[in-house]
Amino acid sequence: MKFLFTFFLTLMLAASAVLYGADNSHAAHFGTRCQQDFQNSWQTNLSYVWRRCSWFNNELDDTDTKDFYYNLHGARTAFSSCDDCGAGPDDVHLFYVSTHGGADATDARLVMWDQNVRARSNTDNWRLGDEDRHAAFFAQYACSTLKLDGIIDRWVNTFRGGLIMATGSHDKLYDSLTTDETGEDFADDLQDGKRVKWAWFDGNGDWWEDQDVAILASGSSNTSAHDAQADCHYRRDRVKWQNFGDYARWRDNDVEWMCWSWITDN
Amino acid sequence: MNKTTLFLLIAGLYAATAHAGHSDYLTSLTSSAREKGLGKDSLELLIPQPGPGKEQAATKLRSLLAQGTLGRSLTVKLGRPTQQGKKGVSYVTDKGSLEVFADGSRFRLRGNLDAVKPLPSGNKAPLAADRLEKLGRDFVSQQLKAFVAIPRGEKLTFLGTKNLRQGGSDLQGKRHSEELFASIAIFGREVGGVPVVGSGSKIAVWFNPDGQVIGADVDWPKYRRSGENVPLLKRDALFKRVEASTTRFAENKESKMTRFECGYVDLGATRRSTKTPIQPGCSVAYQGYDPESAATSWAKVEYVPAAQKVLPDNRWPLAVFIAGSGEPEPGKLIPVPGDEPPKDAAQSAVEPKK
Repeated sequence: MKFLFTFFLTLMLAASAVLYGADNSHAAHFGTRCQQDFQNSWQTNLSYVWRRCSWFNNELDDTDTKDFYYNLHGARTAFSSCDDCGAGPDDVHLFYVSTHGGADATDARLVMWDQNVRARSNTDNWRLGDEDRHAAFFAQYACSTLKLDGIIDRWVNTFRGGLIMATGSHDKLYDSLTTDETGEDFADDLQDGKRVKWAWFDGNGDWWEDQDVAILASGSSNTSAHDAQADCHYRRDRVKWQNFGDYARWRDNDVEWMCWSWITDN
Repeated sequence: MNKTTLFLLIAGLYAATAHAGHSDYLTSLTSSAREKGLGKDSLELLIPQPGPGKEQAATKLRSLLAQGTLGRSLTVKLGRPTQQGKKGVSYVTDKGSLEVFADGSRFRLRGNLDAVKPLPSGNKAPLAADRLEKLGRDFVSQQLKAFVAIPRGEKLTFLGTKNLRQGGSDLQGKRHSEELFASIAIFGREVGGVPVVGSGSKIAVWFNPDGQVIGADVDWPKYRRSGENVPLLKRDALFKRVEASTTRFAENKESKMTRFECGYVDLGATRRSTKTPIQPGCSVAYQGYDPESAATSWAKVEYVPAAQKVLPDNRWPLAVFIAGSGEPEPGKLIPVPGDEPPKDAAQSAVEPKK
């Protein structure tokens, strides 16, 4: 009986993903912005960022369209939602960034090249996924942006634009000689057709270094199953680079549940 | 202060920053390295042996997966490769996957992860570390024995555990859930009593909450002893090289060293070459914090060669630098070739207020 219930729930969630607001944007575009050194050395240099990001690009552009690869000089406004920003997370289906990260009481924060400048999720009104491109994935090789304590408050407004998933870390992602391939491996796993969750976890895994990988998704009861939690789990666990166009975009008050997954030391 | 007191003090300081999942063995490597470096005057170089080849390893593993030899939850029939390239060959389906990398000495197996029934937190304690170690060792010695050779003089070491958890909440935080999806036992290697640090010679065995194996990550080359011993830096000289390349051992306002292990450095299958010996060195993990919040802002691991005469290794920029130019200077960065992107010319120069 439980099996039948689970089967029908899964079927309804799968159907609702297609029925409600699918945009079917199969021509996948991605963009990358990264920073290795910082103005007046205001932040510690990260030696392997250029490799990580350029190798991510080199892999993913074998199958998809790279729209841009820029550094983070004067880039804070590119993270805010706007139609004409041109080179930020809202301008592509998948945006990949690597820099220092962080989280405070109100914001997830990404460090820019410019001294004392950070892009901030709530302060800068991030709301991703509601512009022409319909951004789907925001991948951050940066520390702590998905810190678990307070994660909903820091991210829910970003997801209210329709973003499907943010990937990153609840604590540490190491800059290292053995993690310079993580961008390439993530891209490779996306191309393989893995779920985005597993692509992020496997692509960034290193069993010597303590890689604290995490992902975040949203859910709504605006489905035939009327179950926001189950919808969130379905999206978190199932979405792929090849099928994200089939997923409904939950915007504004449609977002009722947020769910995450993470690998931890305890 | 005598040596024992110093050792206990160092061990205590390290314990305060240790990860909950690290085994006592892994924790002891930092204590030991901080006390005495490698604790030897010289070390015999190791030569990585050619792997079986990625296609050959993939054929064998696919056969075991299809037969169910690797376990009930690692039974899957995999057809044609989803990708085949210079770096590896992969077979990815929703019911299971196999990826084989480099020369076949590294691979990743996954069963049907959709079939895992997560364990709600609080229902039952997850598998304890010693149980995971036992189950992991059994899996390695039985199901993986064709891929994980442990010759005389080598040892499989237990490095600790990690957990894959999942959770969620409504926006008000009134309803929330947390579940355990998988527990992961991690193993390393010792050769002649010397640990192998870095991504190479590591195994991770994934278990569902019922204790069944649902995945494995293996990077396990064969090494040949070279017969050539290289003299090692004395402790003080080694620490000077480490501090010049990374950060100070003493905690400071910029950063904190969280791990420090010395042994053979194997950077993993994609950086390993039969033409370049595995040489002694140390793995140094250190991190910094955002001054405006308690969150970690950055984290690094650097691998620092420990021999007096360092061998160049074109996949290891610091080894190339020391071999060619001598000791690194404190605070001076070793160049790492990479493709630096341009500035977005269209980007507005006007920044919003902080």
